[in-house]
Amino acid sequence: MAANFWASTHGTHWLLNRQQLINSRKDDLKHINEHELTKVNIWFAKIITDLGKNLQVRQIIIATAITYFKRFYTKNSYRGTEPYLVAATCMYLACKIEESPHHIKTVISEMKKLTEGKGGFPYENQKVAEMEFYLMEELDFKMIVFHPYRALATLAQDLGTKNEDVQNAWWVLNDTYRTDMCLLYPPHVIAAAALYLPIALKDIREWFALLNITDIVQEIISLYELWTEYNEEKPQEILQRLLKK
Amino acid sequence: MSNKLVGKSMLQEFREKREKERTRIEEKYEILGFISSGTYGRVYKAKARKKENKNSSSDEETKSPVYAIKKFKPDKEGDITTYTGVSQSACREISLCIELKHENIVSLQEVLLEDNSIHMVFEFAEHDFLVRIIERKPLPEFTIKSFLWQLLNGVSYLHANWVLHRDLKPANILVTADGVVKIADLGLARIYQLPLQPLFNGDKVVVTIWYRAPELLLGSRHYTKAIDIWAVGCIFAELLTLRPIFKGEEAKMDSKKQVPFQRNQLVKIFEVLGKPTKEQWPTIDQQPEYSNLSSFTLKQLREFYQNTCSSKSDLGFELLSKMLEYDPVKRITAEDALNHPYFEEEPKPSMGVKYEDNDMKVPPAAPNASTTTQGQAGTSHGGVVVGARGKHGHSGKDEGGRSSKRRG
Repeated sequence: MAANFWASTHGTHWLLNRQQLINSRKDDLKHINEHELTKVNIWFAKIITDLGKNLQVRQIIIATAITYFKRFYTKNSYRGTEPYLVAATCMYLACKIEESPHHIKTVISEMKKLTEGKGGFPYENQKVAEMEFYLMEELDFKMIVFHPYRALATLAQDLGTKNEDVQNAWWVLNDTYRTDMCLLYPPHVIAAAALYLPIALKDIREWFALLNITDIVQEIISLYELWTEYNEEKPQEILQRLLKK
Repeated sequence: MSNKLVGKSMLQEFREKREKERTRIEEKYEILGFISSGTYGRVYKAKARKKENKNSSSDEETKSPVYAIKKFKPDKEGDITTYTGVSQSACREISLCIELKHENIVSLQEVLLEDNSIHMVFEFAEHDFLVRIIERKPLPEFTIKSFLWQLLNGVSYLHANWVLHRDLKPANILVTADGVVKIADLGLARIYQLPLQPLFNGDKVVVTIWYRAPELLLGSRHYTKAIDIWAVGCIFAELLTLRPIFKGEEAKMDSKKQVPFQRNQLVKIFEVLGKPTKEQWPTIDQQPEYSNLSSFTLKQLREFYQNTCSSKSDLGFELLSKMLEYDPVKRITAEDALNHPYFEEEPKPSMGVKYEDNDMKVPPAAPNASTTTQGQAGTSHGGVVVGARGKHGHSGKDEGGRSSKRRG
């Protein structure tokens, strides 16, 4: 539980392997390619992040909402669902679980503003409330999520990392939520990888070598590579293609 | 089919797909009766329907486990259902119960969705609420000590996991027919590790008034796990005297929804403990309602203990006074309380104490913390239903030896 990640449902139930992820995406991959799907994933992580910023919620809540969204789509396809509705509902539920609730109407009106000119958000209370039930069920009612931020702080303290590097690592952590890492790796391992990046050129590489973080580091770097060719029109165009029946 | 980017048809499709996969609750469980109701909804007693099983031999008596199903009613604002989603309290209870696994905490079996209502299915066995037991007749010290020890054991587990219960009281504590204490109702519970906002921002009022710690009554914006220990102290005193120790009258919230100053509740506390001094509680003058502490009459806890409590154990008194310490910083922790010498003293507590209406004597074989006397008859206490007994059972007990005779 809160004191022990390995005894938590996050540790016992919600760490997946890559094969499970690949299987869950088969449906959508019939319509767009893997590269394009990654862009759609980034797009929704960004939508949720922006929604969180407009609601002025803390980063942890954004991270929880994105994790819910990603967990939901390990069991569903974009095509068979309504991802904007799911995204807003994830934020609404995350605020409650993280003990900073927002009224359902506030979440909806912020989402409407955010999606104006981008397809809009044609849902009211009832739909979001209904979706919340389904979301909880798809999460198997396991809603407490662990995040790497706390582990980052602990690691940085133990290592005496400079504030500037910690800040950079924090930003890297935010970026990891645009990838599938929160589904694949325990939070403290992600934290170590995020800390590795800003200080990679310094001399504690040996210590980091003890941890198996090269995969994650590689994944973060690929994210940044993809990002260079990412702009906002693209994913919307891909999404339109994906959801078209 | 619609070409709209997000069409209603899709949620429809998703819904139909899911509804199809879902088993109806009545196919899975047979409702045996109604247990209780509250603001959250209703609780039913149910048993699992037997699956058609060719392998089960006919002479083997297959007992289907019994459950308590808590059905939340939809959230309402005023008279009309406004669809604001799952209540904060249900969210808390589900998310925490599903993580927590301890023999002194009620065990959540599964959560089901039906007709827009959340149903929490708890594993249960015959039980009684502590509040009903207290109402009946004096309890032997062995029973009191066993209940207290298990209660602290559960609270200690919650606190070790950074969970505050925030509503401990005899009505929220179950005792199974085997005498196992189960802490229930986590609807107000929350994780307090590095909260994103001060705890006070979320819930202006926590803990039922008689069990509410002085720092809460004095308007503290921050509070700690010490508030749960105060409540346990109150419950301990109540087990000893069969009456709530601080039975104050609650001041109602005014029309502006301002949290009122609970003068009467503090009077009740001061009558027994005396007015807190700056020596006892160094930061008391920093409490928002400090100026309200003008004049109060004093009495001592020892006097109360000697005159009204069934126990004459000095160690019991010492533990009680440490749980009812004014200064939350000095108040004993659940873990330290578990290791208090009171529990080393005879009669030693048991993890499952059978108690009976007609026999208030200490069971013949003085049990220790890990065993219970077998062969004692099932309880015939006048309580309701169910009592959890799951896979996380307590140590050293024979499943078959448990007779869960229902009350006649």
